[in-house]
Amino acid sequence: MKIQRYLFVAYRVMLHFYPPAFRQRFGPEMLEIAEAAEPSEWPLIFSDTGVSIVRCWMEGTHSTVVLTELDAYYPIGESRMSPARWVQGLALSVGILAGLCYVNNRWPPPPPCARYGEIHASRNAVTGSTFAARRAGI
Amino acid sequence: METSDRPLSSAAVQILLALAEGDLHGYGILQAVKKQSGGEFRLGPGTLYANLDRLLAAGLVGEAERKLKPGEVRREYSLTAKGERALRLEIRRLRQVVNVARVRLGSLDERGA
Repeated sequence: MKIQRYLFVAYRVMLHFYPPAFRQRFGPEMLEIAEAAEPSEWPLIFSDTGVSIVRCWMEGTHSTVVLTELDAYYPIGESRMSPARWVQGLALSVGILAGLCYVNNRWPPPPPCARYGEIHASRNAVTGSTFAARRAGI
Repeated sequence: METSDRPLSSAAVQILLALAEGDLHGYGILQAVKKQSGGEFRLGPGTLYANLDRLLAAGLVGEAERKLKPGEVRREYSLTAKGERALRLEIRRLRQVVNVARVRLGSLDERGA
């Protein structure tokens, strides 16, 4: 239950990366869905939201007054993305990927007893080899 | 080329199909999509609302607020007439693809047999 709460808070923070207009319009509903989510659904929710944030920045949202006139579908070959949006999307993608790599490599940290065991084992290995060398008269 | 003439994404087709059964709120659409695809197609909230954003802008989907209790409002989405036309067109397109696939794959099966 507590983990579910942490995931929900993390999701709420993640929603802040959406374009403001999109967040204002759909944010409360997205939070309602997340609140009703089962534990098994969280990986889908996070991965889907990560991709969706990048797409929203790159393709633009229609929730703003300025963009409501744009077509919902872009024909293949015609891109209306400005260089600034490409850069924003790239920066966000790199940020999200870096975050995922960091979490993958650093989290969860090894438990303290396991680390103690490793240190102890390496010490034993050193002292053991020294002892064996002394006995052999080296 | 009009907006409704352009091919729809598979997520958009699933959303429009869910709304063809009746007006639904966001969570209802997710559940309906899961049910109608037999669990094969699972939408996340990000994809759902990004698609709804586009479908609303294109006029394929409409929205209305429904009062549940005093002070509690739920936004529900519905299929518009334009959305229904676009969905029918897309299904016709998909049917054509299925017909061609049936013939081609059938001849492949015959060659393999």
